[in-house]
Amino acid sequence: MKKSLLLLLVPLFVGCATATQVATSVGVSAGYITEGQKQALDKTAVKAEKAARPVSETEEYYIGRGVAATILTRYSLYRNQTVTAYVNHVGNTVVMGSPRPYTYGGYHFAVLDTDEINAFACPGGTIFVTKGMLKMVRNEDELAAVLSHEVGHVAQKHGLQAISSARWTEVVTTLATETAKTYTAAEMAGLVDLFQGTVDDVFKTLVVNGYGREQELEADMLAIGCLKTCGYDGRQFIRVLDRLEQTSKQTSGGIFSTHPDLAERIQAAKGPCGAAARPPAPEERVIRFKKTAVSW
Amino acid sequence: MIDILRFDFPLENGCPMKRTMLLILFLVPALSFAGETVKVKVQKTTLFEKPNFFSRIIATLKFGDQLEMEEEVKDWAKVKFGRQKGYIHQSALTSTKVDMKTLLFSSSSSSGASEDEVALAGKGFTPEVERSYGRAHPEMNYALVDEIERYSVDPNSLRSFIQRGGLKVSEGQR
Repeated sequence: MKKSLLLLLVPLFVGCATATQVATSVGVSAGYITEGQKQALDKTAVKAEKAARPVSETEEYYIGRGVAATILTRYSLYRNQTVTAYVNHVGNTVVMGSPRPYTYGGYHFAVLDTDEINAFACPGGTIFVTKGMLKMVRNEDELAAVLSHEVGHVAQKHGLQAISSARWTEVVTTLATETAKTYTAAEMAGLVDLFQGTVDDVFKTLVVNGYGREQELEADMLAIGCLKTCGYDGRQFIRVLDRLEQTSKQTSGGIFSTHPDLAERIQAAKGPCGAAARPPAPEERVIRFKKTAVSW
Repeated sequence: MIDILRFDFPLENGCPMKRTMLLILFLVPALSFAGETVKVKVQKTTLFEKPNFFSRIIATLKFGDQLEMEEEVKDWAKVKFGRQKGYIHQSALTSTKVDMKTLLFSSSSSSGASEDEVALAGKGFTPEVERSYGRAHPEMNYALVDEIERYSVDPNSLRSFIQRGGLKVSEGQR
């Protein structure tokens, strides 16, 4: 009996309302569920299917631009050509080691002019790192560790997971009723409201509440993989987390309020990072970091 | 898993064949085929001679360009673009997976797994929505976002950066 009910629920969870309706009809005729239960299951399946349509690549891009614009209302952009170029070179190197090196609008790295220690990954690939974070890292491998963690959030679309499912269901439902690509003023106003709500959902997670424990751990594992693929020293990832944890004992707010589980993350990263000694970084890598670091 | 469910699912006058088919359709999520048409789902990308970010560039591709899938090579796809053949990273392509459930049960294209990224481009959150949002919220500095996006790293400069720094790039080895 239980297994049969499980079967009825399979299509519900895989998001195919029509398949659910087939299965529930069978369930009614076999006497396992009542007509009322069938209607409730069918209704849930339709709702789940609507919400199941994922955010498209282009929508992710526009949400990410909205989040970036919102972050830039709170922080100033640090416009230093040398620093921007260097951060983008390191960032684009780790991007090539990630499972998602291409996004609709590509990856872009920018520096925020604040001493707060933080970094933010907007959906779609715009990644901010603060001057405070740049001052905290001690070498290029550590900077690569910070950036690859943010790339991990983008690759896993963690920002999009912050969107309330109720809001996204409303977006998809609204769009499902549209037949034309042009919207009336009222429809456009509704979409703009939903867009704002979506951007706010992501912004709050990035800047105020922080990602969940699982998402942070997932981004860490991806970051360590990226670093190793690119030839950076994965052990530097732990050094960055260690330093963040030490700093968190003296400072509050910023990254320390949104990343509370540093001890657990350090523990989890130890195995994947490996303990084997590596040859020191080539002189060129050391020198270019030092030359650029004087500008932040 | 299939066997457990199969023998405990009593269809009225049902035959085992039908039950098994139904279950397979629910449980086999997707199949992919060589020769399928795939599309570019990012604004701009590159068709390379080899599955390597720094291999010779054969063509620059743009959003919506259609390609013929030949084979998957780790994270890369060997594709045909007109008369040209080359490699493109799979993250730049619409999925080649065909969702069996949608194919057989759904009368519309609304099911998530096979939704065409390219067809969705004109719907939902579009440049038009962003413009309206920007007009309603002048404090949003989209000009700065554009400035950040305009910055791009020259591939030759990046290659030199990687080589001189003793680093390496992925060649579809993961």
